[in-house]
Order: sequence, then C-alpha cells, then structure tokens
Amino acid sequence: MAEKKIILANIEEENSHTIDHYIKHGGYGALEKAFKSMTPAQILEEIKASNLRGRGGAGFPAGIKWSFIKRDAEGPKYLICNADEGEPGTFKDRRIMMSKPHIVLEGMIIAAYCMGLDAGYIYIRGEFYDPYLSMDRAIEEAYKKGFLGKNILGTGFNFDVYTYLGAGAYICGDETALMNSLEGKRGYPRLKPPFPAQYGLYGRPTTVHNVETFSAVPAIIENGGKWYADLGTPKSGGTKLFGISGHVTNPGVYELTLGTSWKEFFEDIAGGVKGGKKLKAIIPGGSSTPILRADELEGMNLDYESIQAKGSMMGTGAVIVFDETTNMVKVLYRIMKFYAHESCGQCTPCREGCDWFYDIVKRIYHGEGKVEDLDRLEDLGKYIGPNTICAFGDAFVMPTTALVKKFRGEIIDHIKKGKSADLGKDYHHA
Amino acid sequence: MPDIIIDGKKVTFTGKANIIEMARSVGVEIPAFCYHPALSVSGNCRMCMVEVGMPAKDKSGAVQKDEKGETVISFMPKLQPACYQEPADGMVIKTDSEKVIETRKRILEFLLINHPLDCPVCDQAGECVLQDYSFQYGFTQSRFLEKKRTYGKTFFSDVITPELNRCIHCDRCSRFTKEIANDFSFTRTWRGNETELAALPDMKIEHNYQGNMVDICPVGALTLTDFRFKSRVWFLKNSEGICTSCGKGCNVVYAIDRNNKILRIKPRFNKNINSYWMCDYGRLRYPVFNEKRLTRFLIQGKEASRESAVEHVQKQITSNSRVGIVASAAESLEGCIALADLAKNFIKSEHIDYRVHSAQIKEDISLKNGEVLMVNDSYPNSMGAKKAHLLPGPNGLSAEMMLKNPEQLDILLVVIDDKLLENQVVVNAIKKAKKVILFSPWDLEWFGEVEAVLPLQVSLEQRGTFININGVEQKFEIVKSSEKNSHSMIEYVSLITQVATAVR
Amino acid sequence: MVNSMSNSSFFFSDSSMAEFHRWEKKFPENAEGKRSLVIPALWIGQRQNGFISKEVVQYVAELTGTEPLHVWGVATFYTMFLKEKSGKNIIHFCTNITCTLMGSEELMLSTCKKLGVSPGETTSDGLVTVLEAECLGACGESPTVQVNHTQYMVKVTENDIENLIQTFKTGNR
Repeated sequence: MAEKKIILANIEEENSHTIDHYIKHGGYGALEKAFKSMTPAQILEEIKASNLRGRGGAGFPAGIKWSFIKRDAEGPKYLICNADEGEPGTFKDRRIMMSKPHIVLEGMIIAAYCMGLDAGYIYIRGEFYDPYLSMDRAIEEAYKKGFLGKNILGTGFNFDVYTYLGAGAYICGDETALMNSLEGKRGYPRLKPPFPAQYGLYGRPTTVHNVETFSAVPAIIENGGKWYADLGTPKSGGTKLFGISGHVTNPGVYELTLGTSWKEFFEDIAGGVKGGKKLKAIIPGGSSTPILRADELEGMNLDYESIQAKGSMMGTGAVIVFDETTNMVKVLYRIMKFYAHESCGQCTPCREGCDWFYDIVKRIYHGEGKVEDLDRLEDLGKYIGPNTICAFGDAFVMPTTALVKKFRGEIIDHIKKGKSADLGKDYHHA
Repeated sequence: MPDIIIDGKKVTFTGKANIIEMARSVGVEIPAFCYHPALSVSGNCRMCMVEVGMPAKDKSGAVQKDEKGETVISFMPKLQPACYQEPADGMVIKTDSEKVIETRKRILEFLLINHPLDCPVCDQAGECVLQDYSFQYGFTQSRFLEKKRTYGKTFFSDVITPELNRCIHCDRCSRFTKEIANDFSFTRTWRGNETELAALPDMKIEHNYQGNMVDICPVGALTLTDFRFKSRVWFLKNSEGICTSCGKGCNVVYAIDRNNKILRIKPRFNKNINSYWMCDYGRLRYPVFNEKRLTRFLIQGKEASRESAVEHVQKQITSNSRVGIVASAAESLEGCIALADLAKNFIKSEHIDYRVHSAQIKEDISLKNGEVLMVNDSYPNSMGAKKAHLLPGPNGLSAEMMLKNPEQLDILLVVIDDKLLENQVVVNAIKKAKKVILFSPWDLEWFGEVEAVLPLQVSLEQRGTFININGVEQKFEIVKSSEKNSHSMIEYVSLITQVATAVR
Repeated sequence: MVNSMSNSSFFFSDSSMAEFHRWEKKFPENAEGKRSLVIPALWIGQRQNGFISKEVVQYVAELTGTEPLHVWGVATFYTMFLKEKSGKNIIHFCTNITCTLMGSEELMLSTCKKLGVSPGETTSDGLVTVLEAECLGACGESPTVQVNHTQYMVKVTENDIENLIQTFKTGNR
C-alpha cells in the first residue's frame, strides 16, 4: 500500500500530453489488445474482476454499470465522460486532462467497444477552458492515428468523441443534470428511474463515468482485472488519485493504492501540516463529505470502507487539510455559501432548505447566532436528504451536520462572543 | 388484473396508472401541489411522498410470509413521490404512517418559510391549496427567523396580475403554457432559491388561455386581474353552466355575488369538450350579462304593463302581412323551438333566420393536442337553432336580406343577444324598418322609440339545452336570478299565443 | 405560437459563424441536436458581444431552432453567462474553501481596494470587473484566479495581480 503511479506515470515529463509520448510509454497498447484479442464480453469480465468503482464521488462499481447496457440494443447509444469537476477541493481530473488526455480517450474507446456505443461526449465544466483545448488537441491526434473514427484498428467498430463546454453550474456534475445540459437545457437533474442505461442522452441508452474512471481502464485491460483488484483492498480495487490541498506541506495530486494508510499518505508523502502546525481536521473527499477531526483519523486507511467506518466518505478523494488556526465557523459558512449558490432550485426541500441553512449559518458567522440554531440545523437536515430529487440534498446536509456535531464547542464559543466574534482576516461578506 | 393496496384498500389498474388518482378512487386523498392530471409529472414539490413497499422475496424468488402467513412487505427506505411512482402488481402504499405525516409537515414548513403571510389580502384565500394543506397537515408556528426571499415587481400579462413572492415553484404555469397552450412564453429562469417564473424581459404572454394559469396556480402567485380584490370566494354562489361566448360549449362554473351579479367564470372539467380549460375570451365576457339590463316593457318608447305590451305585440304580428324574424342562436334549444313554432303556426311567416353574422371574434389558437377552444362560431347554439329549423321557408327572406332591406317587411322582429349590441348592420336595419319589435335583455339607447320592446331573459337565467358545433347536446340549469319583468322566449310565445305550454 | 421579438440586430461575425459550424458537426442533425447548440452558441455570442443581450438571445434562438425564452432560461441558469455589460476584462477570484485558507479573500479585497471597486463591480473606466468564483478545480496550487473566462493563474500573489492589471492597461493580452 503506497504511492503507485499508473494514471500519473510519466505525467511530469514535458510532452506527456502528446500522443507520441503516450504511445512511447505503452499508451494505446491496451486498446490494441482489447480490439484485437478480446471480445466485449471478456473486456466486461476484466472490468468486473477489477473491482473498479466510479471515481467521481458515488463509487458505483463500473463492471455493474457497464452490464446495464444491452450491447445489441438499437442505437444510437452514448458514452459520456463527466469532466464537470466542481466538487470543492477536487483538482485531479484537470490534471489528467491537461497532462495525460490520451489515457482518458483510450479508456473511453475501450469502454465504448465493450458496450457497443456509437459516440462519446466529454462534458467539461465551463471554467476548464485549457483542459478543453487539451482534450480537443488529443482527440485530433487520436483521429489522425486511427484510434477514433471509422473502422478503428480494422475491426469495423466506429466511435466518435466530442468535447462539450459547460457554463458554470456545479449541479451539472450530477449525471442526469449533465445530460440535460448537454441537450441544451437548464441543468435540472432528472427523476429516476429511468436510469441513464435505459433513458440517457436524447433518451438513448447512455453510460456516464468520471474522467478518472476511464483513465483506470487501460491498465486493467493491459494487466488484467485481478491484478488491479489485488492492488487495493477486497472491496476497493486498484489505485485512486488523491488531491490534497489546504494547510499541507506538499499539496498536489497523488496516486495511491486503495488501502494505503492515511498516516503514510499524509505524513510521509504529503509532508504533514504546513509550517509544522497541529492538524485540526480534514475533509476527506470534497466538501460534500463529512469532516473528520484529527483525533478521528487514527487507524484510517484510504479506501471506501475504512473512511465510511469513520463516518465519512471517499467522495472524489479530495483532501482538504485544516490546521489549528482555522476558524471552523468560517469553513461552515463558506461551505453553505457554495451550496446555496449552486442549488438548482427544482425541489422544495433543497431550494428552500439550502437557503435556510445558509441564512442560519451566515447569521451564526456574523455573530447573531443562537445555540438553538445548531439543533435546528440538525433537525431540518433529517427531512431534506431523503426527500430530494438528487443527491444535492445530502451533499449540503451531511457536511453541515458533521461540522456542527464535531465542532459544536467552537461554534458555541463563537455564538457566545456575539458581534465580537472573530470573522477571520479581511473577511468579505457577500 | 394487477392491483396495489393503498392504506389497506385494494385498487386494480390497467396500463399507465397514477397512484394519486388510484388513491382518490378509493377515498384516499394524497396532497400534492405540482401534480395535475392534464400536465406532465414534475415531481418537484415533494408533498405527495408516500411509503412504497413490495412483497419481500427470499433468495429463491419466493414470496416471504410471516408467522401468521401474511406476506412480508419490504418497504423502500426512502419515501417515494406518489405522482411519479409506477405501480406494480402487489405493491403496498401507506399514506398515513408517521414518516409520511411528518414529511408532509416538513415540506409545508419549507414552502411557508419564504411565503408571505398575505392571506388577509390574497385573492386565493378560501380556495388555496397551501392554506388547506397547512390547516390539515402543517405546523401552527413558524420556526423561520431569517429574511424572506422576495422578487421585484414584474409585469408580463394583461390577464394575470402576479404576486411572485407567493410562488411555490411548482412549475404548473410554465408546464401548462408549453404543453397545453402550445406557447413558449413563460418558464423558470435563474437558479436555486432565486428561480423566477417569468416571460422574456419586457415581453408579455399573449396566448388566449392565461386564465387557466391562474386556475391551476395552487397559491395566489398568479391572480386574475379581472377578479382582483372583487370578492372573497366564500361569498360567491357557484353555479354550473355552459359558456355562451362561442359554439364550443365549454363547461364552466359561474360565480354569482350577493347582488345577483356574475363576478367570475371558471372552467369545469369535461372529458370530451374542454378538459379542464377555457379560453380568456369566454372567461372575461360575463360583464355584459350584469350591465344595462332591461326591466320594463316599452310601447313606442313609453313604459307599459306586461299585459298591454304582449297584447300590442300580438295585435301587430297578426294584423300585418309581412313579418320578418331575426332569431338568435344564443337562445336555448327550447326557446328556438318555441320561436319557430310561433313563426310557422301563429304568425305563419316564412321570414325567419338565426344566421346573423356578428362581430368577428379573434382568430382561434389551437391547443397543443390540436384541440381547439374558441371556435369560429360566436354563438353557443347555432346547431340548436338549426335543429329547431329557425331558417327561412322556400319563399322566405334570409337574415341578411331582412337586415339589408328591412323596408320589404311590415314588421321587423329582432331577438337581441349579447353579440348584436354593437352590430351596425342591425342598428341601421332597425332605423330603416317600418315597424320594429324587439325581444331584448338590454336597455339600449339606439332602440329609440320602436314599436315594442319586451324584456328578455338571457340563457343563464333559464334552464335549457345548447347543441355545440360538434352536435353535442348539453343541458344547463339556472345560473342566476332573472331581472325584474324579464321572461324567457318560451314564456313570451306562450303569452302571445295564449296557449299553455309545459314550461317547467 | 412563439412570442417573438423584433428581428435581432445581432448576428455572428464570420469567425463566430465558422466556430459555430465546427460545433454543429458534434451533434445529430435533428431538432434535439440543434438544441444542444444553445450553450456553445451562447458562448460564441458572449465572446463576440461581451455579454448575453436581448439580441444575442433572439439570434441564438433563431440559429438553434429554439424559443427565445428557452435560450434566456438557459442563459440565466449558468453562472458564466454574463447577463449585463461588464468590463473589458474579468478577473474571477476563487474564494472557496482551500483558496480562502490560502488567502484568496485578502487578495481579492486588496485588489478591489487598488481598483476602487467592490467585489462584483466594474472599474469606472470599464477596464476590469472583479468577480468571485466557486471552486475552480486547481486547489493544489491555490490561490487561483481565472482571467476572462479562459486563462488560469495559480499560486497567485499580489504582484501577479498587479502585473495582470498592467497587461490589461497596455492591451498586451
């Protein structure tokens, strides 16, 4: 269990984004193997055996997702790469798209071949202009080399990939909201069922995966599903990209085998808290995951089950580090400000509840809070998460509830100070 | 046949079924805001959440039974929206569990935190779903201490006065505009808690079905400008009737106030004719029945008694040779038959015709499903008039001819209806004719000093039958009391011929 | 029946239209595929016009075979579409969690002070608009700033911002 560069292999080199560099280091070898010596059914078996789970935050087993598509069903059938990396703290997909775009394409083409899909769209968030240009360049290179387009590697399989640029909506990271956005509409999540495999883009069967999930596919095909599974834990196969930022010595994206201990990652690889200060807390997987106090991290490993056992989630693997100087009330306020801004407004509990949470938390932050507010938040949260159309409800209720529970003392102190509470340096009130 | 169990009651279903409707059919009311049977399912209000369970199956696929031999039902961990949940054979729905009841309370709480306490000044009070559900299912006190979300003042319609602060974002109005009215002029804009139902900036909604948006708005966010602040709904007497503004025969409800005035018309569901809707043209034409009503008998401009007026008319039409009758297709079928009988058997004149082409009504816009409300015939009973044979005999003059050259006649008899009030052709004909007898609900200056005017009831003040342009016969009852001294055509015919006809 | 506005006075330049044609190739050739072009067309329109005006909305609707109100509904849903005229240059400061931990708020406020505006405002000479952004996805190199909806600047210091504003003034972009 340690750092292991598969997706990030050779990514530091200057031309890692070019197809020549990619091929030089074995890139598109998995594609050749998949197309020339494997059947779609065999590819599916390897993915299932790999225990690869979706890397976008939900962690749904890829092998099961791929089996939802009926390969012989009438087309067109679509593949979507979810590159709407908007979860605060997450920056791994941008890294991949900027410096190793071809690994994403190779994974997509193999997936499309396995599921019999006709065209793929890479939905890139509107802010990622440079990654969008990078993917476009890579796609052009791939077409030139015959890895995309008609009759790929002489197998008679056709597959096209197009990029799409969003325009600033975190909710479009939800797969059905993404599809609505791709269809040129407001990015409202859809009611489920039906699921994308039955009714997806333009109502056609569709599979949606995160950038990193596709990036994991070539190695699985190259080395076998079991190899990938064995790298990790029994239930979480392979490696995962962890992005670490905040009060940490060596912020950045690291690829670790699942099951690596938190201690090893944080202290040995990421260099511990910046400036030698004390660790206060971390958010383990992006702002939608419950915060963990420093004392709760004892014995935690970086895999889905271990983090869940601690009461949080893997999420996107985006670790945000808070040192002892952090004002947790401000963190709470900033998190809720984000969610209030990004709620799509479709359903009652989220549209009204999210804004209510933000108002309460804002009031607490500005020194006008009451202790009852904390109990109010916990009470309201119980009826938001289970009743929303999509997971956004849980996404703001869970981190808020966790912060309030775990830093109750600090928040109450802040409340008691009233108007003289510390709001942080030069704060900006929006 | 597949069936589900709702609160212990079994409901069988075929094809596509909706759980809210199925529950209603066994007397279980599931509250909902955004659900409407004629609109697509939106599932956004989350008020209709219910417990959904299926028979539990063990590993072999066999249904599990408990010690008593009853089927074990495995309920889904989360509640599901009843409007959207597809029923499956054997499904069990619970609408009265603690979880469901508490969830309803909470959803109402969420809806009320930004909802202004406008009930004292809101038209919707008394017919407001939010009020009703709050009373039935909600908390009695608010726990909200923050500032309510407000919208700026907007204007996007002549028919609708919006109060957007009251909006609960159920999206019924925009779904209606798109799906039924076939117009894309109103939809959700912006995002999150700032989502605003709006038209394009500086633009208006122009379609002919805006009143329906007010009907289906569950709260007072969209109010009818015409009805604004006119009356509290609990002071209105509601009477079912048929719209008289065109030949479609939409089923409606007339709301009458304490002074016997019509204050409002709303559509009534009819599966075959107008579904849940009516057009704005018909909805807003009621003032004509309230105003300038005739309450006296007139002979040559002077007030007379009923007996003398009837006698005068009887003498005139029997002593003069050429009598022409311009009949009205706004009359009930029974009234038309009576008038036809008068013309044929009493007056013995061939000159009778209902086909007066009145003011042009606005070009119709068809709804999304191709169905058309507001047809090109502005009369509610043209087919009835035709059936009653209010048409000229082989040597008879048509209405057009009678009105163009009324001097051909000794007496021109006209039945005045609401479509003729401004009709210049009729006004001129009456001026030119030798002698004029009018049956009229209205007291109009241009009557001048015609030979006789008998005050007539409008169809809303009678019982009768209309036949719409598709040949559908519809009976209607009395909607409002008649004005002083006015009588129906049937009564007048009976009086004039002194023959007792079975009227009531 | 569509509630139509007067014929738009805005239309794509040659280069804008060329870019639009490139986007057209990505989607199926039917009504649904055309609707997918709304967001790309709005981007092209914004780049040419500076913001999404009434005329841009009308034009994009005609181009994509959709209704003007639909286009307006899309434009108002997504944050990056500017609904009113802004400065010639836009600086987006990310103020989400990590960037705030690394001092992005102070940076934004000192920049605003220097320019004489509040966050969300445009300088009086119309040169710069300062806006707040949600997480820009470059947390490992925070604080992060986005310039004119395209370029990222990471590990930003006050010096970097000063140089940036200089380039705005001299037009060297």
